[in-house]
Amino acid sequence: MTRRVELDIDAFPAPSGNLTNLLREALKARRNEVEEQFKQFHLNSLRPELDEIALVIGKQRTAISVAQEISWCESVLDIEFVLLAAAADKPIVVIPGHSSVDAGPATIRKNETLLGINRILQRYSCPLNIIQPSERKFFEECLRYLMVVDRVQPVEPIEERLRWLLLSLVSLRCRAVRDIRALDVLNYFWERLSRPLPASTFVCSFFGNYDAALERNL
Amino acid sequence: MKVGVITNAIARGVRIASEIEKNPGVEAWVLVFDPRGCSFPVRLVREIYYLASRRVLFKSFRRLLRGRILYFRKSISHPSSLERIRNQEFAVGVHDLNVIYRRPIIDAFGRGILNSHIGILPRYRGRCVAEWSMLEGSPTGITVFFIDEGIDTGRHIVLKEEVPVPRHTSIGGLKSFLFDRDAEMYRKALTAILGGKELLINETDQGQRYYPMSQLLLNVVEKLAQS
Repeated sequence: MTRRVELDIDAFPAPSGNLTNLLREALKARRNEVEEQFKQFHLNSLRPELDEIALVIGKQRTAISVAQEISWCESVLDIEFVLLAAAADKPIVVIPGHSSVDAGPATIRKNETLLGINRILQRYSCPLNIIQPSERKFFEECLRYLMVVDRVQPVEPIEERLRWLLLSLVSLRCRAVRDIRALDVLNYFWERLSRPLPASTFVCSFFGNYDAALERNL
Repeated sequence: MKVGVITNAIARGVRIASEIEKNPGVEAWVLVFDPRGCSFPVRLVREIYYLASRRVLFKSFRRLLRGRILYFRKSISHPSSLERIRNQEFAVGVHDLNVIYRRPIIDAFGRGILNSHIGILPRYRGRCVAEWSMLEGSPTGITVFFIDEGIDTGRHIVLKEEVPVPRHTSIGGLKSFLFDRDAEMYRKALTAILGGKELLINETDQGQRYYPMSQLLLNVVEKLAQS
């Protein structure tokens, strides 16, 4: 015989003042390190058009920021550019989407990396969509993929690209949604990154958004 | 009730078996899996010092003489191991092996395999849950449940207890404190099962899966534990 038990996950005691202070200090220290690393990327050398984004805005399109509530949208520019623009705190130019909100979350399957990347790139052509509550299931799958197998070890180039893409998406969501558990996945990777880092847009956008996510959770 | 303690260390298995046999009506066998395949005598000699230091040497020999230690050279998922387990007709398995069990293994034990998880389910699934509980200001504790093939998603919880951690300890001390209570928790769980206690449902959507914690937050928890 079984019985259902209701458990309110918000019913546990709030962190004490001492804990809050310890956490804030730790995140602040980490943020200084990440900010320093982000500064070393020359955004304009990666994407020179980044500063010209203002010219694109206002031509019957919508510009939004990461913090805004959004409905499903598609980006006018490619995913790397939009992630980078978010990292640099530029407004992001989007058009209303009509795509796969109802198609269920994208999945990341083992031994299907290339297909997985293509599916994710297609679904998150506007990466801001990762912030939506409907994408929580996919977000959890990102965390699982990144953390279950130790993805920190050197991997095949294609998998490396997927990893940075997922880290960028996770960091983007972490700056919009306060979630210390997800943020700590980024902390975990930060501590294990092998230097020197590749100068790619995904890497750069990861640092920019991770930096903002730390600030959000302070 | 015939119970199989699934382990890769004789001393740990004997410690758990001795504890759960304090339940009248429980008979325990220790199932030792050593996929590296060294012979039993070699394994036994290697463990003698460990057994003696844990004061279970006499208990181990006595259990061995009674045929209550079964040694497996193949992994638990190997067909020969599975066949041997099925032939024993265990009612319940007790987990003490660092593996994820597949369905045929779980089904080889009549009612399933019990796991003692050092976190409160359904809220805290996965890794480092004791640390996460502390960090989130939640009670630390232990849950004994019947496992499935997922990570702490087994549907039936036998019992859960909040276990306050001792003050001024380290993370290592905290985890040892909780892990070392596994035998006692298994004994209580088997008592509950024998007594016909109704099982709780592990509502996984009411919790989250946790992952290894970063050093950054481990340092925070360490300071918190020692304060």
